[in-house]
Amino acid sequence: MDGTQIAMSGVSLKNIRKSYGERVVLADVNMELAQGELLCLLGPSGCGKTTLLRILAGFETASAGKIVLNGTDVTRLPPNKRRMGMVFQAYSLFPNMTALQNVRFGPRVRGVGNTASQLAEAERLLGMVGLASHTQKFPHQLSGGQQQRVALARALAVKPDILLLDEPLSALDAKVRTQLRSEIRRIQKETGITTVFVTHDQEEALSISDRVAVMNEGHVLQIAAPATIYQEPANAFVARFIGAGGVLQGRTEGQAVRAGSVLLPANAAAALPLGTDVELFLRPEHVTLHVTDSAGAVRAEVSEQTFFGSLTRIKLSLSDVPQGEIWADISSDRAAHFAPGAPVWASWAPESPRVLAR
Amino acid sequence: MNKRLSLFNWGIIALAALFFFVPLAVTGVFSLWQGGSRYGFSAYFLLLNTSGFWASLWLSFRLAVETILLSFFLLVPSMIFVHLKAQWLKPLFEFISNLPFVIPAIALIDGLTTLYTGPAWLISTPNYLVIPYVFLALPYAYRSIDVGLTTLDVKTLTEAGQSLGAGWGRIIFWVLLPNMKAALIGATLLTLTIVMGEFTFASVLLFHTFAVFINDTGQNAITEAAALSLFSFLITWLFMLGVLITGRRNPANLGGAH
Repeated sequence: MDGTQIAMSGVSLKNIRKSYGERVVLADVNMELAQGELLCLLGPSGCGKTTLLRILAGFETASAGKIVLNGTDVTRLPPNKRRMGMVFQAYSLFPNMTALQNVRFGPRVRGVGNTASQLAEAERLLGMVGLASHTQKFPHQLSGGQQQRVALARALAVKPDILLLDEPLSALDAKVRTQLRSEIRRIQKETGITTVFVTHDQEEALSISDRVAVMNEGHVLQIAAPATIYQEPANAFVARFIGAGGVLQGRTEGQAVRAGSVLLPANAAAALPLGTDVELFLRPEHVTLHVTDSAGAVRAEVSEQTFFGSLTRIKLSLSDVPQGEIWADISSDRAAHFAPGAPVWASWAPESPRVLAR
Repeated sequence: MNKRLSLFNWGIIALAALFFFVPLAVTGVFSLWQGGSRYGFSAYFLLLNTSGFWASLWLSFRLAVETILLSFFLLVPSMIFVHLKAQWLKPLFEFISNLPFVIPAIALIDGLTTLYTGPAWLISTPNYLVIPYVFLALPYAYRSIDVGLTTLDVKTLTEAGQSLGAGWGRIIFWVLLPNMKAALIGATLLTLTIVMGEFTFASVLLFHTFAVFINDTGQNAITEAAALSLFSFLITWLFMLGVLITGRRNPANLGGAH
């Protein structure tokens, strides 16, 4: 799909810049969203993701740049004139209204249909989010997860061109969070609404989105499908931020990286000139542990174990590598063989590591 | 949680009740005194038939309502604006709201009469009192509304309303004000009480409000004055009760069930 098509049927952000005095919060952000796509803005606190969402919603004004929604420039439109639905991190339901009245609020203020059709639509949406039996409850009578479901139904009731979700799950407990995450995705797919989802939780971003935009210090560092972001991070920040992984520093030497006196197999090193200072990134699921020396394996020592139920994550320091550490995920049944302090041998397929110039 | 009160708690409550009710009871008994050892309701009958009683009561009540409306009209939008867009103005608002505590009433009257000129319907009628009354009630009305706005997540609710297509009018009247009911009732009650009992401004500016009427009556007939005090106390309480009951009909609770 080319850019023009996307701009006509989705959302286009062109050179969006936001600064407060000298401080630049967003630096020339460019982004295209296709109709029906779910894009996650992912990054650490203060990276500018919420500011970008608020500029999209109209709550903040961009210092420069343009927002095009379905072919129309909405950059200067006030929030109540944009056709956007928003779900906030804080429970934002109107406390004086029941769940049904909350969902009906949007169509009512926009004068869409008559009272009967507004109520029928509100009931349908509450049914869709699994709250058909809670329509007459006030927000204080609902749990946090239920309140966010009502907020989602309320945002959908205005039939928005784009749905904006600002860390909607971060105030919920882990179980409700996972459940609601799946439901948001299901509903988003059912309705086909273009959605922007802000989160700082990488697992959430990878599991829910069509594409992920990783941001840091006001810049979009990489926009790609979750698998690409995970397997082929564009730079060291993305590699470090997405997923757990070991990082080792060294210099390229053919199809390997020399770190200290050890030669670490890495096919990707061949793409860089000999002797380039690099960082080698290795995912824990790519590392295999041996209790005895094995061909191509590197000698290491177990420095830490973290139990995750079926899996145990082992932290290793390589014996002859002065800087860095790697991680290995093993079945918890085998964890007893790798107690802290025990000598082990670690190996990986040479095509697994990502090698990025420093 | 054990909600039973200890003997000590009951003792404190009894002491507070005595402090509150004994003067009222004594005033009540005195208002019934008809000289010697005779007691009856003559002071009350006399009072109700005194010229100026109902007129002064109605005038004070009307001024109280006007003061409440003008206070809300000025304070609610400006305070919402400060909470949303100009937090840096809050210290200035706090300072202004506390001025009535430090400016003597008589200085205020002098200042107002010098400062305000205007149409006859305002300057030469009791309506003029609404201006100093708004100023007088400012610390209490401001504090109540401020507490209401602080306990409410005004920013998120406003943005939620905007994202759903609502303009400022609807956000204020459909979302914010209904959720500030307790704060507005508090501000209403305090303003009403202040205006109903205000004497200095009305007396100096020669307007015959209820407080001035009580004072004048007390100069000539002290049992009627006691009856009048009880009566004004009673109507203020009845009005407060009415507002509280109205406010409780549709409670807006904040927070969530977890």
